[in-house]
Amino acid sequence: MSAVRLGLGGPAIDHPGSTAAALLQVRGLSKRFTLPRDTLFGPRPELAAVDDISFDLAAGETLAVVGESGCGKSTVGNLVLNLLSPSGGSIRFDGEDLAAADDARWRERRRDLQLIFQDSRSALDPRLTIDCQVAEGLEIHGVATAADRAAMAAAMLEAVGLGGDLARRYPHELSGGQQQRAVIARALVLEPKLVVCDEPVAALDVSVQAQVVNLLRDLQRNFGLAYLFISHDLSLVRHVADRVAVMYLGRFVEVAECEALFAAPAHPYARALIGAVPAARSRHGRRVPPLRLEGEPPSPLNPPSGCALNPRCPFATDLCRSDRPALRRLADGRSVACHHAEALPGAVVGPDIQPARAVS
Amino acid sequence: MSAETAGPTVPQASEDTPRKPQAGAWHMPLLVRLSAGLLIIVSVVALLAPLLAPYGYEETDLLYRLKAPFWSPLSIEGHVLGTDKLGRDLLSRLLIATQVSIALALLGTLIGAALGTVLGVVAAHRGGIVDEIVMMLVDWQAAMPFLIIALSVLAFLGNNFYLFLALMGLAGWETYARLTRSLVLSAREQGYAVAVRALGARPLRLYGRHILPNVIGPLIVQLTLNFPQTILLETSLSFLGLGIQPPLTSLGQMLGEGRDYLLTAWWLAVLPGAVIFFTTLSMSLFGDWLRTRLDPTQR
Repeated sequence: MSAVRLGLGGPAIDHPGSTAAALLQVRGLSKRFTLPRDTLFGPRPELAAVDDISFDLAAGETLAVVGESGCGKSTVGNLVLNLLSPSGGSIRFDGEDLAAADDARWRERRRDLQLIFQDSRSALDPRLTIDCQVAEGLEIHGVATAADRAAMAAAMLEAVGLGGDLARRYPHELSGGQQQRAVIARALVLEPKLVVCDEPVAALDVSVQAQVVNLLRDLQRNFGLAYLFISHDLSLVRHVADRVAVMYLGRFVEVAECEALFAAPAHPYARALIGAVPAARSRHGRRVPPLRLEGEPPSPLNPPSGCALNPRCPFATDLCRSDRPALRRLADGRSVACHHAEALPGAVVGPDIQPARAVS
Repeated sequence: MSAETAGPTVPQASEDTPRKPQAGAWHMPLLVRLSAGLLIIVSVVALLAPLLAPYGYEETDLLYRLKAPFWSPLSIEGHVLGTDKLGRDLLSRLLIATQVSIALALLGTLIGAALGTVLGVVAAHRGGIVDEIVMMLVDWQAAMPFLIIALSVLAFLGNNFYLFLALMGLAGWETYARLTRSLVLSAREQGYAVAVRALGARPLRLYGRHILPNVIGPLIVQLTLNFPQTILLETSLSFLGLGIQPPLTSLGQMLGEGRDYLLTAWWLAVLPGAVIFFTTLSMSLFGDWLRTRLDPTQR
């Protein structure tokens, strides 16, 4: 929200979009966590944190994943980074399934796949100066000599605005924004292809948010990075994303081009989410009509039958209560998981004549 | 009474000048200086005891039994701290006993710390069945009175110095293992540990360079707590006659021997007791100071 209000950022970046060969291909990704038994001999409850998600991400593209707390968006990030192993489905990064790679290969591929955390303070080792920590990635991958590594780390820190004396400080001697810059420098010094940004600016104050977001955009332009941008801040997402995936209870409910989604969200949940943003206006100055959802999101331990949104959706029908809608492609190219996407009051998109496809 | 209150605190950097991390970082309060000084003396004694001792520690002189130390009018020339029940020079015995006790306690503590820390890290890293087995051993060790284990081992296998040392090492390992395991389990979920793993680091780098340095504070404190305990264990076993065997001596054995003469020659017990007391106190004070110095966020 801050970024938009401050009027930051330059022209939109020209991306090849999903037509280019995908850097990251995710198909039918699921993650179930098994919880401890409630009773001594009872069944172990299973929690489906991520359920049957598919998407592509091209080099240089930014895909934002939005949704409320607990919907599984951070789990998607950890699965993509292969820090969690999926319960089902496949993730191909650069045509390679990392979950199947052996230990040495997995470690080698870490160069191309980095992450930026929400909490930059805990993301830095409190006992090492930040130039040491930035150089460490190079050290792990045996890049160059010690002196060259130090120079590369210094150059990267310079690029994120932490030159000179700042580079030799301990994390606790830096401000929150500077810490986040150090985290970004550490992630980018290896020149990765994909960076998962998990709420990268949520812990920062508004003016610093804008600086960090612009830094991320500049670095994307310079290095051709792809971002998987996980956030709950819709105004921020609107500012940085090429495409947006709206997530509810472990599933994608709508995947669309950023502007199209913010102008006219098709899924009732996306409408509620975007209608709730205080200053979000469509391209024509028309405000997305607010849609109020009743009640709380259901527990992922015990999801409702049919569409996960049906107990809260004002448009729900018997079909919604019995059948779970698949993600299908509408005429304007967006994908929506709703039986009635075209028929809802105020729908802007007509029925698609093409056969349904799960992936946008 | 912490070391911090004993002297001036580390000066805080003012807001306009950039803080230099090294400035005043190793400043020592007075009490810590005294502790460090005493520990240096004890270390020198422990290293050079046979050269410093004026007499052999087992040299008896039955004509001069139970003589008083220098401050008493009954003291005699040549024996600064008097003599014991067999006329052996107390100063010489005290020096050798300090050497033996410090060496035993230090080696024992270090063996226990190393064993416990490694097992704790392995348990936390591997999880599952390995974790269960290590924790079962920890519980078993914690549930058994260690003195009884030590007594039975020494009674069955006979006493020798290395066996005794091994027992000293086994005395405290379970507290390190439990402590290390819980510290590592929480530290490896921290962002920096996840980030280092995501960079592709091997476990050795992750634990050796990042996690252990970050959890070393509580382990050092545990070391300084365990050290006096190890001395006390040595004392108990020597007192019961299963520890250091005469003619070799140790602080615990001297304490045990001196106990019989508390009313007539109190210094026989009080002097080795004072050495134990001041050594362990210095160790604790110095350990506490070292812990805060080792943590850059507390400077």
